[in-house]
Amino acid sequence: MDKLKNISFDHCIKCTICTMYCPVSKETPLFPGPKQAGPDSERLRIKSPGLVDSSLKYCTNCKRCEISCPSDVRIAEIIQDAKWRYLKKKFFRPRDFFMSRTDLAGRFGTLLAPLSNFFLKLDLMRFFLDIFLKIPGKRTLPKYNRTTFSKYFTKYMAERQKNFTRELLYFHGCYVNYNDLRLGTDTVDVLNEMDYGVKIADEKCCGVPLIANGYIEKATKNALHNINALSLNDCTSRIVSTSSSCTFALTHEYESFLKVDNSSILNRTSYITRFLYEEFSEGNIPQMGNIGLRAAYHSPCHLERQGGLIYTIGVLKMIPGLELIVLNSECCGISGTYGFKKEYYGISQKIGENLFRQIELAEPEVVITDCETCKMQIEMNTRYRVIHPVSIIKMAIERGREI
Amino acid sequence: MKYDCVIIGGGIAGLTCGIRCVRKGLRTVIFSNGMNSLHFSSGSIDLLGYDREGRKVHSPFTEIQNMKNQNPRHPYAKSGIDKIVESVDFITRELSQEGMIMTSNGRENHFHITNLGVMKPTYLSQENIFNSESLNMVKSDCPIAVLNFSGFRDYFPELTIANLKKNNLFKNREFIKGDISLKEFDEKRRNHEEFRSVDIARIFNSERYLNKIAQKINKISGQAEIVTLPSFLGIENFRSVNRKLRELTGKEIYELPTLPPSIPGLRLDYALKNIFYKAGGEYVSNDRVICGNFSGRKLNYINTENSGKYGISAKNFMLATGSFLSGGLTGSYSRIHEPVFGLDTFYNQDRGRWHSKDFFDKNGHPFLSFGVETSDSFTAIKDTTEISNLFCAGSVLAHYDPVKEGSGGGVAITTGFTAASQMTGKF
Repeated sequence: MDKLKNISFDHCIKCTICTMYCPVSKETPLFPGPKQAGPDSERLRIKSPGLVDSSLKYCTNCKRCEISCPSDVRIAEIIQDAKWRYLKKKFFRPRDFFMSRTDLAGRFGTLLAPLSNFFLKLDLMRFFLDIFLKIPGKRTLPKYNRTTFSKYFTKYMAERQKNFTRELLYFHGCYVNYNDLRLGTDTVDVLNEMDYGVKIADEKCCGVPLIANGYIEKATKNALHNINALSLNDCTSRIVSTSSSCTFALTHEYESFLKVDNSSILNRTSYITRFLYEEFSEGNIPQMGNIGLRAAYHSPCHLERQGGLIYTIGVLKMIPGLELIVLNSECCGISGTYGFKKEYYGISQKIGENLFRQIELAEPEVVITDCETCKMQIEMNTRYRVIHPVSIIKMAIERGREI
Repeated sequence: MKYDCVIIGGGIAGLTCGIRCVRKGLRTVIFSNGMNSLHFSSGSIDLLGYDREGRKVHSPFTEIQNMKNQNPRHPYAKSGIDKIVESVDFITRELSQEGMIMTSNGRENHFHITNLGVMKPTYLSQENIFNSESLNMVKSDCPIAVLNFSGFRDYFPELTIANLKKNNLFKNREFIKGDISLKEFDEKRRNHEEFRSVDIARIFNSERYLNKIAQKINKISGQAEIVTLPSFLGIENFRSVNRKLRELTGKEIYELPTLPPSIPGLRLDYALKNIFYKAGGEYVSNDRVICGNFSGRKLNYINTENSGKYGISAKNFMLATGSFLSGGLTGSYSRIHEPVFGLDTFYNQDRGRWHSKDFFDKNGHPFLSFGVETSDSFTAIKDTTEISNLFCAGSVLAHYDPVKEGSGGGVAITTGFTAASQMTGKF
């Protein structure tokens, strides 16, 4: 008899709670909901792979089903697994290939930075992307930095890291590396302020977009590479990341979905706000000034999935002068590369509508969120600037210096 | 992390306690692992529906008064009548401020009507749920229309009507049965797939088709002044959906609770959580508490799956993890465990007596009244030592049978509230 890989579907008691909380089945009847696409169909698929239903592809892997499940069924994982086990890619798709290789696309993007940003804004270019690559023309695409964070760090910041007593590894992820240099430098500055010297490893993409696009082998390769790079020379320092989805991959998906042994990094890795919260609680709080800012906070799905929400809110509550409006937890709809695909763009936008309305009603000055793709989605659909919690702390530190 | 109050379990007991604590100005966090069992409930709150002999109870407080002698370890006996009244009134008030009006029959029970057409005693019902009080609103001889939506898989109006006709209250009533179908709805249906309550509730919630629906209702229901539908008339917008349908049809529109996923249960859950959030409570929706660190008679901190090496400490803790279904209690071959802290539990040593052979036994199944032992003030007991800052509430408690008594909601609210009062230093 075959030994089944993931038998958590057997714990499903058919309560349908997951379907009540699924943002996709809320917006489109094309997706039958996580219960049916996941645990229900899994038994049939095991019996006969021919029974696979192509509606699986609508799942965004936001993991809200897993958050709501009272029986610990790994619904999203079952769906992701089935998606790529049964719905094999029949032909090469350049779009999915490039989109999932965020580090490759990023390298090109930054290499040609002013040029690539210019071209990606041209209507003609957008038209071609829409027609040939099926990347919707209305979608705002991420901007590329002129230089990568890792280069910038090595050139301008690495030297001074020796001056601090403690050491920390920073897993910056592709977004910081190619698109948001500022968040990277803010993070290093904040950690330096708390007497932590920062090191970076030779990292590759964490694998989240690869998993979402079906490149499981490549994702496994990246996972192995990252685990090795992060434990090089028996390194035992703590690892922080400013991306909630990267953290979730490192601590959860490597082991449970890719079946890679991540024990050497598991207990050392945490999302940045959890690390900050622990430090703050022990009294290691950087000098912060009153920032006098009214902000709405949106909680990303993948952060909630790791139970990380209280740490971010906890840290934000310690910033003087920050008036925080915590929005009701709702998916923004972009779900990584999902919202960049023409066939899902409409669904993705519809899912986010509630959140955008909430933000408009809250009338904040800025929106705070932990996730880079949530940021893109909110900035595209509302008139507000979206800032990472770490950058808010950096702002407060600067405000403290001015006085 | 340091809190005034950490609550383990996000069900009705945990939320009641949480709301009370934040209202009193305590920094409170609720840890929840998956959604609570309100999603399986009818959305009504029972206090005490049946007495020891299994007879329907009309005056729950009279019956609870007797409990002190009959079963002094019962949670109601421990908290006392005053506390029960105070806590039920507290939650009714909080809910009504959040826009959720609960119907009651003074201090007596009333009867809500299930989707099988059976009348069940309950203490608080959501205002749109069909119950014995709703009948007083209309002429005694008007017919009742029992309607369904075509494509809804979890409801059969024929059964409702057949059972209602057995009841003296409805013996002489005329019933009209019918299905509402809409073109737009049919498009939403996949070939083999049919609607669940939540799919239809979302369509109602959008309020887009209410005019058309009202026309159909009027066409089918004829002379009927009362129209019942399964409980899917909107989720967040349920009040305005119901009001608009009443205005458009000129009829009394009521809902019958359906099989899970339960929309009235979902509304109650949303309302309680919203109250908690708005009051400033913190809610962790996906983290399991795995253990605690005790010294002497005190619980110092707890660890969760994601908390890392630093535990979460608080002045007071509450355990409201529910019963067997929610994993608050587990059973091995010879004993009943409380898996988070390993608290002392009450159960029958003779395993043969854990359940009754008759599934529908009027005396209930003994295992349903197994659970954790507590002191008279609901503090937990571990290795026969009382833990002074760990309270227990809800269906994790022993010595009562929520199914047989019809007392689940009431006990959860009362014990959650009582525990909160203790934490806020007022009992």
